[in-house]
Amino acid sequence: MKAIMVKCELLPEELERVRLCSACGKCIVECPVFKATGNSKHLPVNKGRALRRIVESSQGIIRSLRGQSPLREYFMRDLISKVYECTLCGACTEQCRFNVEPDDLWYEFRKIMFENGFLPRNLETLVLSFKEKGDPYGMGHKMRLYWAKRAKLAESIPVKGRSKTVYFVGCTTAFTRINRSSAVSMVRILDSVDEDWTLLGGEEVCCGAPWLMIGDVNAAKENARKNLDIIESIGAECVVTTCPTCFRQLKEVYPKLLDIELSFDVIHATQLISSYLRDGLIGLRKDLGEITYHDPCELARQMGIIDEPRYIIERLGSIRELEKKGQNTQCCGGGGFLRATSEDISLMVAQLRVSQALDTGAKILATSCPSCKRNLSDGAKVLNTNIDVVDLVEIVARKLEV
Amino acid sequence: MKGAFIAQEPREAIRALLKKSMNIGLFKAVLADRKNKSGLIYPYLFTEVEELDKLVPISPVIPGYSMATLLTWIHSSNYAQGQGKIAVLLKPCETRAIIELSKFDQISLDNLLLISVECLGTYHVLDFVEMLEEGSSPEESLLEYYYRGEDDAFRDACRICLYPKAPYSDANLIFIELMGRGLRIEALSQKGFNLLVSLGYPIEELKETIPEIINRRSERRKEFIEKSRRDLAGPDKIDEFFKECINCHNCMEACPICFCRECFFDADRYEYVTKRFLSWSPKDGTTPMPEARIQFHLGRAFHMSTSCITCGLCQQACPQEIKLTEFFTLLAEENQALFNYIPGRNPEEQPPIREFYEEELEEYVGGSK
Repeated sequence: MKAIMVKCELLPEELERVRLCSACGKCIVECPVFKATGNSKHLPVNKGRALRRIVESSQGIIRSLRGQSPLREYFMRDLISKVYECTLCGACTEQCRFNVEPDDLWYEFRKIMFENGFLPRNLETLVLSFKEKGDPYGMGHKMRLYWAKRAKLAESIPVKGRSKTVYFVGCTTAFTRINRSSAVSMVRILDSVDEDWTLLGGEEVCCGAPWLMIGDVNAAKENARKNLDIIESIGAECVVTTCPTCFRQLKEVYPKLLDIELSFDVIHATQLISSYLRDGLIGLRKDLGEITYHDPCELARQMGIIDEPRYIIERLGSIRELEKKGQNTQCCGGGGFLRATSEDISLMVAQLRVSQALDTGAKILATSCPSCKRNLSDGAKVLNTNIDVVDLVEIVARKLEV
Repeated sequence: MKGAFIAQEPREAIRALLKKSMNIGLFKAVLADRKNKSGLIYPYLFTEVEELDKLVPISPVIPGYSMATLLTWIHSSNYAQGQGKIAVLLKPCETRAIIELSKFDQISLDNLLLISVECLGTYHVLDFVEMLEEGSSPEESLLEYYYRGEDDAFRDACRICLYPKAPYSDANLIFIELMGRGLRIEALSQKGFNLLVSLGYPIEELKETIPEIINRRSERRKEFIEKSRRDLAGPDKIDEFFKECINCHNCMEACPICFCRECFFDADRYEYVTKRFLSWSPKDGTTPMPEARIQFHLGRAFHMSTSCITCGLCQQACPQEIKLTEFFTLLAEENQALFNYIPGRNPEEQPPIREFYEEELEEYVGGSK
């Protein structure tokens, strides 16, 4: 039984939040991973307890009594699955009434795990290729524009040195086959209004959010710096993304991470499209019938973008709301790097969400996140249903009135 | 019984007592509830005298992390090896829990000074947070309830609790019958007596008083247990009782008695892979684990019903609001009566689960013949 000293440096304000948990258990009720697995090791409240145990030994009350106290290695090893088998969706924070803000603490928890060398086996090799290639799919910059090549757009898409608007594609959109069409659709929409826009081309690197989900803050900073340098050199006024994770990372996390102010505005594709619609720049054919909409956690819960997607859907057909929507959305299972850590659990969560969508009776399940689209359509395949899982930008591009 | 009387508002008196003791080095730290800026309360180890202003002397709530749990952590990091004493400011139920845990070698009482504050009950944590959100002061309203001798706003377990005063501690702090005009410190052990001597408080002989509320509560408790017996009569009713259980084990985590370091029910035995879930329920991919659900509660009851102090923290921690207090009060009452055992009465007594006598329980064991 090996005893180890765990290094952790929470801020006093974070330490207090760890301690504020009253273990009322309300966070349990909406946890999508627990709903899917029914395994008590996935409970937010249990992670909170473990985190408190670590911080009290390493920097809190136990340390104040007798100096830093060691923890058993197997205790830490046992935590790996608890900490990484989580979608970081923030449903626990939505329920918490004690100001704990658990989802924010789970990032800190992963930082502690990473810095002390406790990583899930699946991530150990992934981290190496991620470092080398600059994206979690291990594809590298040469493959960044492969989606455009496949769509025979390689010659026509702009990669300019100066431009007003930048379309930040993001890794999941660029590298997963199912999401290539979203990028192509976005190109069509931007071109249809004669926007002065550009891609970052092969220079684009991962936004860094996965690094924070793994727990490597330094790598996340490095990626942030790289992306910011190119965007600033282009002199962009506006960065648009189709991926809510990139959106949140660029808009909210970069300023905090690097302690800077952004020189440009960051918006999500749904915001851009709904503003086009409002200004009458584009028109849509309303012939899709019933559409149900899955709110991506990062877009709806964390960034508060709830009305814009619905505004767009109203122009395409009629909306059949899911029971868990808006702020109270339920995760598709694709968040928090869970797909890489445990595909099994990720798909179990996806199935729950897809079966909720099936209950609405709608034939189309729309979302506005590449990760959600990928996970939900895989969940639909496992459930053997033919519900059409689409990204909003795709159906917008399909129904554009020129 | 020896003790001392201090003519001062009880909360001020408690704080003054702790400050003075720390100043003259009677103990190195105080484990007690601390209040943050927004009024939320959590257990904390005070190591600096200046910090004691943030201490909550008479806490309106017991968070799911009881002091007992924190003490087991401190104990397991070998604090016992002489680093100076810690005083622990406790509710009577927590005091009893700590004494039980010491019998299972989870806490060492050697370096602890157990100070038990009289208590007629606490709010449910969610009621407590609601009061804060409304802008009222739970601490003040708690004392108003105490002085009026009422308890209808408190948790189920508190309303049937027969121990507003701990049966054993180092010092009991009594204040309710004094209606805010003073604090009586009752020394129940040599350690408690030494504390009074070192602090220079005038020591007098005290008469033992029994809080008036106990009579009312005995009646209520009888009714409560009768109801529990009806609700839990037979396997079908037990199944029905736990129907809403989602197997989250939060009751176990919140339980100050549950003494195993690693729970069998958290083991991989109950970790199922997707395929098995799918085979059980092809529609939505999940199913509750029937064997683990009831078995978990029964297994837990086997371990700790003789030491259960019916603090009700299990019920407070249940996200499904299952009335676990009924289940555990019934089991505790019957099993403890069987062995004439009262948890927390005396640290020298061994809990029934640790001892076996050939002569006991003839109808089950068959006697020594």
